[in-house]
Amino acid sequence: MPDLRSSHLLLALDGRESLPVNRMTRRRMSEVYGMRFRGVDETRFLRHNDQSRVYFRVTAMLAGALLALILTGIDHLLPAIPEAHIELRQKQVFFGVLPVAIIAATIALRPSLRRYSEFACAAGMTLISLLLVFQRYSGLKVGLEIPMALIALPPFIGLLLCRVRWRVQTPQLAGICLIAVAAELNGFRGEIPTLGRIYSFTLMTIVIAAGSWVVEVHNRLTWIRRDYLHQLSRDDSLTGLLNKRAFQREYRRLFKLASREHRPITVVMLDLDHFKAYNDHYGHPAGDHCLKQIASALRSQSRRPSDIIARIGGEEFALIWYGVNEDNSRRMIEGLLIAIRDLKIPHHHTGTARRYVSASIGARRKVPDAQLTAGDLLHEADQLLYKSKQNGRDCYTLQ
Amino acid sequence: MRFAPELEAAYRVDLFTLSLRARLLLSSLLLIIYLCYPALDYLLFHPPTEFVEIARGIQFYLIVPLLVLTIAASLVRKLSPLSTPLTLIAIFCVAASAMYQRILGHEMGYFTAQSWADITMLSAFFFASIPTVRIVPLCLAILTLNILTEIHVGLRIDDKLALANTVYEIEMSVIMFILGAVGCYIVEANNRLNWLESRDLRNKIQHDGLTGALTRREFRNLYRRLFSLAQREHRPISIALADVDYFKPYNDNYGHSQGDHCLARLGRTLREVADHHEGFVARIGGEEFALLFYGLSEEQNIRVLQQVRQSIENLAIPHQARPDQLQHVTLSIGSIHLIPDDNRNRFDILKLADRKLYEAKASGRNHTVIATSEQYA
Repeated sequence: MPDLRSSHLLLALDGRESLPVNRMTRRRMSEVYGMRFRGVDETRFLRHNDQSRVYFRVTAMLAGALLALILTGIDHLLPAIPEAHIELRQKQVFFGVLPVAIIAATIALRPSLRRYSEFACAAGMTLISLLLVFQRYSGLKVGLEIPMALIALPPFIGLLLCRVRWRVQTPQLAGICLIAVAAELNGFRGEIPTLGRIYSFTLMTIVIAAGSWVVEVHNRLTWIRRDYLHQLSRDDSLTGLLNKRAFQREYRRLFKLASREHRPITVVMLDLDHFKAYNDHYGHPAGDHCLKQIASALRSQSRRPSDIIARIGGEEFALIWYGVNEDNSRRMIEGLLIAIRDLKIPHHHTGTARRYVSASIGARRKVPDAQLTAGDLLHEADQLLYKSKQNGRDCYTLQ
Repeated sequence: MRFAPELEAAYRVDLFTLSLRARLLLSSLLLIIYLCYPALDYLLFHPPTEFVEIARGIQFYLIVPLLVLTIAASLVRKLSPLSTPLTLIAIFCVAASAMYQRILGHEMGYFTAQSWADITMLSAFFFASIPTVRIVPLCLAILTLNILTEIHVGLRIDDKLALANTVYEIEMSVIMFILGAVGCYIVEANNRLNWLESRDLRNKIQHDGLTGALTRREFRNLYRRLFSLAQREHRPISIALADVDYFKPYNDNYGHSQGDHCLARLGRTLREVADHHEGFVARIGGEEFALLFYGLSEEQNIRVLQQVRQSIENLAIPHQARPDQLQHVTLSIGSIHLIPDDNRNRFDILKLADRKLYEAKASGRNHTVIATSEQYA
């Protein structure tokens, strides 16, 4: 498929693209710049980071631990470093840096602990920074200068490679900066070099904070854009229910789960009665409005998060319920029909005595076994729908 | 780290705006830092006069103009091609001047902090949004110079503590460089992946999954844009509506899956022909397609549409359930070719094309009917 936007002809065109991605992002720019999405999106963004950054976090932690080991190794090779300082560094590496890194890596790796991963990364990085502040402070007493820039490095890695959110890590970065400056000012008598170091260190902190803000703005933008495109490719544009493609995918997933867990699955096929006549008499805009009302009625009746509701044809809807027993299935299907009747959408051209829009339902409830494929079950439900249509419509058949 | 040429160009275009914004922020930040120096010198650092003359001279006559240019390049659209080289030059000059000041200060008995070159390197890696292949060599050069500077400034044979401190500084620079290079690579790889995925998603939404033709929504939008372009440029535009003949009997006879298969083959063929003439195909109904061409002459339009009808016939998809003599799947096409002027309504044009399609159907199908200029004048 050609990319529409790379067509030579279209590059010469102005006017809006039909996909309102840019308009949508423009509306949400304040959320992006404010580093916090509204509602559940923030949690979803956090989950996305936790999921996609697992290996980065593990690698960063292990590489950091390795780096600490190498640096202590180099210390041993250098002459003139006091024994006490080397000992302090070793102690910190073996009892501080290594355990922290390993714990944070484990938390990132284990799915059950993953929701603490961001916190573990941020806290671990801060802890390592504090150890470095202490090292520098005690090193200065014997004339050794651990570079101040090293202190700001762990939070930076946290922000950039581990994708700890800006709002979580930056306050800690600021705290570390303050502590480091305070340690530096201990015994200060107006020396120029100390001032210079503090100045460059503070600036570095600011550069890191600003830069990681830029990087996170970019990340968030990419995320909402992709999320929106996902949504567009998944949803039916008229009703907001799942479209046929997404329905097939989700249904197969649920079907597989049901056959593995030996749980019943209910396939409900719903078709509006005499809808072609409705469209012909009331016009397509009214038909679209009617479909929207039906969709929201279905949504109000089938509200569990695991329920699948999709529009799979012009006036054909499908619902999938997982693990619902026969009585409840029956009750829920009756609920659907009642909800549609209660909408009382007038329809005077049914060719029958009915005056309102109604629907027919064919439903098949079954525990999947080895012989049954997902397509078969759908087909059986379709046959039952056909039966309901023959039984005079506005009714259901459940088997 | 490189796509095929066409993709690469599109990727660069898409990401460039974002890079410009990041560069604007970075260079403004640097500019503020440099403009603050005189005040800082006066209040805090009190450097020797000769140092001030040389160092601030470099800063104000070389670096500040460079930064202003970089800012301009990220703001003014005409200058934006210069943005990347200017940013690279500015970064190098900032780092070089920091190292020069350190040497200068050392010779005059004055101290400047070590980490300036490191900070420059780090911000260059992450916040300037320059492709990894360009930024790594530059930063490697800065790293080498910085190590040499540190050795020149710090290393004295008689002082073993100074040796240790110099080694610490060098360690720091190397860590910064490695972290920067790895991080920069990861960020870019990530950007590329995301970009590819968004592009695929976009294509998936814009095209009908079965036939690969554009969706109805996309057709409406495209038609609106092309129509107004043709109006402005006084160029011809041609719209053809094509409908598969006796498709309902085909579906009933061969089944829906076979029907889908047939539509997919038709869609592919139509796309091939349309692509060849830089046109567009959309599926606007169950078995109804629309073709849009821009800038074809009237004779070319007739030829192209004959070619479309002929190529579908040549597919020779068997269709035994037709009520007429033909045994294959065929198309009826109704088309209109015109140079739209301002008082022409594009919906009326579409309706006229639909009427022509109806005429084509009525005259025995597998026909092309093109509106003559009198009919829409």
